[in-house]
Amino acid sequence: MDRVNRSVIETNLAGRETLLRYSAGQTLFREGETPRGVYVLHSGTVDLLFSARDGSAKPLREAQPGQILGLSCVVTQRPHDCTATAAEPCEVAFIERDDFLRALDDSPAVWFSVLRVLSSEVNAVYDDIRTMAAR
Amino acid sequence: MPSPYNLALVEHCSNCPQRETNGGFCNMAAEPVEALDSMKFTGAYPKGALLFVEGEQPRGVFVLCRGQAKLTTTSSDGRTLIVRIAKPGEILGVSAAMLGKPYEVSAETLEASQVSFVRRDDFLRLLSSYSEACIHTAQQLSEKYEAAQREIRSLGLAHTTSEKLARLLLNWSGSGEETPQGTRLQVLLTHEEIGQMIGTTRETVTRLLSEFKRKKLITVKGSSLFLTAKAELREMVST
Repeated sequence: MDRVNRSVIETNLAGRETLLRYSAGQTLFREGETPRGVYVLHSGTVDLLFSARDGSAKPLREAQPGQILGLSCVVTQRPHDCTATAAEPCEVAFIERDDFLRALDDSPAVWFSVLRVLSSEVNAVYDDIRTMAAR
Repeated sequence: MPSPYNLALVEHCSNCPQRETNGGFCNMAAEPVEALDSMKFTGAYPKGALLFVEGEQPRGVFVLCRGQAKLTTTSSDGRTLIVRIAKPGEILGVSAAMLGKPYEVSAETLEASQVSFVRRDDFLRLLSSYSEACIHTAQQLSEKYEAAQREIRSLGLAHTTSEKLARLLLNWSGSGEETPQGTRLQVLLTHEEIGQMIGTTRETVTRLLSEFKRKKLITVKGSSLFLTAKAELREMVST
């Protein structure tokens, strides 16, 4: 179902996106930065990291092709809560925030897909919590 | 006739005095609020009422009008964890209702609360008719996501338990009241529940709170907890 929702979003964003290529180790966005838009990962994997207080980077999750990064931050307008770094060469479609929000205005059906993708993300984090809290 | 649980129930969102304070979903334009009014079932719940249970098929969403609720889940080794304390204006059970998958968490009221239930079909119909409802739902989902992410960070960073407790008290101080004796927090949680928030036992919470009292970081009067030395608490978190 996730794949369907993501492709609905992508189809509706066609024409508004910029295709970006990252080589391994390059950063898509950094923790604390104001979100500029959303990133749809076409190929490759991206490491999501957050910084510990001693400055070291801790792994949070690995993003796979098809995943949309930065969605929740664009909705809340809050700074990115993690850093995204390409783990291998990646192809990413970038859509600027305003363009993204305009696409939603134009097609209310996309809203449903966005809500479902956000819902799956929430569930995935709850899953992580259950695993991480186990001693 | 006395009102249930001493809550004066407000039946209609359109004339609810909490609308602006609750914000977001409660404070939409007249038309979507009217639509919401026509589909919701409002009720009063006592403290300790279970609104829904983890693993249950989603019947719909619950808008917390007044009161507070704890959202809990079970860790893979069977312990209860409180993932979040929901505040008025929050829609509970949204991700389950959106996906048609079982509820990921259980929701239990922490005090007498007013809750409006909206059946899943009706909720989805509201979203498809009003983009304003979508915006607020997306915002709430994103906030839940970010809060859960913060929870992971604090689990992932090896804090000592006293540091976690200090962090929790400081987080709460944002909604506390400044008094000459320090920041006053109304604590609705038991020591056991505080333990479920920071991943420790009831005994450890009791011991640490006594230690905090002895170090004059906090004072306790009834259900009020005063933070008397916030700077020292902050130091515990940042060292």
